[in-house]
Amino acid sequence: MNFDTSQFAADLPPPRDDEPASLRRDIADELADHLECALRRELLASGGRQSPDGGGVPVRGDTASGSGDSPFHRAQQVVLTRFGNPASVARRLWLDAMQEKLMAQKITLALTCVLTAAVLFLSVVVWQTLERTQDAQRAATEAQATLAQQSEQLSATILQTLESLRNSPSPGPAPAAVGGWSPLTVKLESEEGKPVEGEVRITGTQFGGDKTDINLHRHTGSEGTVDFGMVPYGNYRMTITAIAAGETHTKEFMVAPGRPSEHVIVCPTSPPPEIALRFRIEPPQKLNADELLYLVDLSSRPRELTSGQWTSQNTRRLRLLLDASGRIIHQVSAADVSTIGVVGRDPFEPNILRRQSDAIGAAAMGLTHKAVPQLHQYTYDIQGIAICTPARNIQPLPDAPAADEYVVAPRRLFEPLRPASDFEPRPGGENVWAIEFPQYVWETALWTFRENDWARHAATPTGMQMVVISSEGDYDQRGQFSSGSSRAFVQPDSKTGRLLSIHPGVSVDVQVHYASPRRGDEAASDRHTLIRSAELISARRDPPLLDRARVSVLLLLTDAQAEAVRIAQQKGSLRIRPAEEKTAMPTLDEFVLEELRGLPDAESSGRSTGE
Amino acid sequence: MDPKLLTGTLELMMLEVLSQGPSYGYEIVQTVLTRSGGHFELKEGSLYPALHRLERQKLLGSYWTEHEGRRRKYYKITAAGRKTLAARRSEWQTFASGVNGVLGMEYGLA
Repeated sequence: MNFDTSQFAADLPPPRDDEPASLRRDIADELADHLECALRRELLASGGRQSPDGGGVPVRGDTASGSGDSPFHRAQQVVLTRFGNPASVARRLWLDAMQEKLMAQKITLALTCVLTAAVLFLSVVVWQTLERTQDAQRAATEAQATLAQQSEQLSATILQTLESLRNSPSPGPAPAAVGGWSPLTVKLESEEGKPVEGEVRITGTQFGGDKTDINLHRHTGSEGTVDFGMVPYGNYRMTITAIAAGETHTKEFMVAPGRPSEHVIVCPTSPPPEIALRFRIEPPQKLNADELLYLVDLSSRPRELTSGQWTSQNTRRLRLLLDASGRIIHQVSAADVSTIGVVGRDPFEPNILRRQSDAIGAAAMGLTHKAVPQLHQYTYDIQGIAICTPARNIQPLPDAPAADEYVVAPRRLFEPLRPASDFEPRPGGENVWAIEFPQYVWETALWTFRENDWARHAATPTGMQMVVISSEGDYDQRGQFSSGSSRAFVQPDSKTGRLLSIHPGVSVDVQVHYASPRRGDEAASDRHTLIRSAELISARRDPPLLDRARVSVLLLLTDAQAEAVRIAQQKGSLRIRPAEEKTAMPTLDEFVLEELRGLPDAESSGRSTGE
Repeated sequence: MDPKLLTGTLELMMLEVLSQGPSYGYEIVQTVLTRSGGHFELKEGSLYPALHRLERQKLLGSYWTEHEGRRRKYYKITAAGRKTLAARRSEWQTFASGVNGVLGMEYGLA
């Protein structure tokens, strides 16, 4: 061979198992045959020596001559130049032959990798799922076992408790907490540690509940201890009554699952010292003859002990009837009178007792007697005071209205609903609680008690001006009258002013608009009835027997308010309409003019109302 | 000649040569060179990948013989190769006719 065929395989990849056995040899033989043929042809074309085999084949003897420029070598170089690199050609042929197998191998390898990865992933997922499932099953099994155990324990405890209750009337030791139930005990003792007798009332709501579903009530007995047994965990409220002291205490607590709830409450053993109390109320001289009564709405404040606040059951709310000298003569029950409260929301509005109280009148006459409660040394607040006249309750006048007998005013005028005082009586000696009413309260009381007797009292100087009269209506929060079923009272300030007389039996319809100050603006108290405008609608003489629908209201005005009326008149806001034709009575303008002409300082009013 | 012009025609020429009878690599190359008038100057080694590709496509068959102590691989056209040759020859004639028409050679305009 004139070519080294071993060099053909120089660039071939390493042998493979899947490679055909004759592939490399076939490639080498084919290329060698080509090169031998090409070399022989080149040598023949160049006239070189033939090979020793006589077939015209060039021999390697020229190569062996050691001359690189021999015709053989030149021919060999020409052949290789024309053919190209046999090793590269052999490599390409090998790759072409093995291409399908190589690709199939790569694809197989890739698929194997993908499948392996998928199998591994699925294995991990399945393993984790199995682990979680096993954990969940294990937890569920344990929970079921725990629940079963707790249920068994609870059943056993209940059975044991029932058994012990049946066999032994005396309560045994508190059982240990089981499940969501815990033992609850309450012990009442004095500050010295001695047991205190009392009552314990417990209400509670189980956790997760939305309403009170537990109500327990026990008496401690002389041991001062109450065992409520097992109670479900939840939020509780405990109300303790110390019987000897007559006081109650409220405490909120929580019963936690599995934890015994034990409470030791320090209780009072006796009420505070007794005190003597009377009131001192000085009405104006013109009411002295009325022998007024006063209905005081009194409340005691809780007292502080180490365990908290204790509230008296007996004096938590008292309604006491005072005579004219301020002495407590009677305790009025809630059934005797309505609660003293405000009619509207305006804090400056006086309160009204809505119905008569025969009990008050009877008490005033000494016909009934109810033991006056013994007062103890608490701090007291007055929620309200009603000024009453007893005569109206016992024997009402024939033409008197059937209601609205009492004008109720707070001790401190402007905050009737708030605790207005903190009177702290002291034991030993008599405590005197002096109460002062504003002047307008007395004016209102005077007018109210003598509503049908104006002629007699109209001349009484009160320092007020009477300018207008209104029929029925409401005095609402905004300080305006509006028609309504309830009676309205207007309370002007009483610092200054004069009272004008008005002929009895004459009713005047007036539309009045007031400017009411804001709640809590005490500095503006003297302006709370300032009139923005007023409209006199009509005036006529009422029948001899007063018609309830026509009962008039006397409006007392201060100088400032009267000035407001005059301004309203000047601006045309105060107008007088002619009386209705069917009532052959003098019109208001004539009447008012006649009245006003006799007054020294009502010139403007008289002129204005004469339009 | 630009070798790019030979792209796609080399296999056609090999099939044509082998349609005349079995032949081996060197002879096929020489026949192509001779019949092309010496215009195709190719690396002779580049013909063998084409021959092997035609063989894998079953357009050619092969067999080995002994010649002067060497193994020689003969190629022969198969029935499928003949069909392919006929089809490609028709395609080539259509292609050449079109190219000649464009170049104005078909009607002696060149």
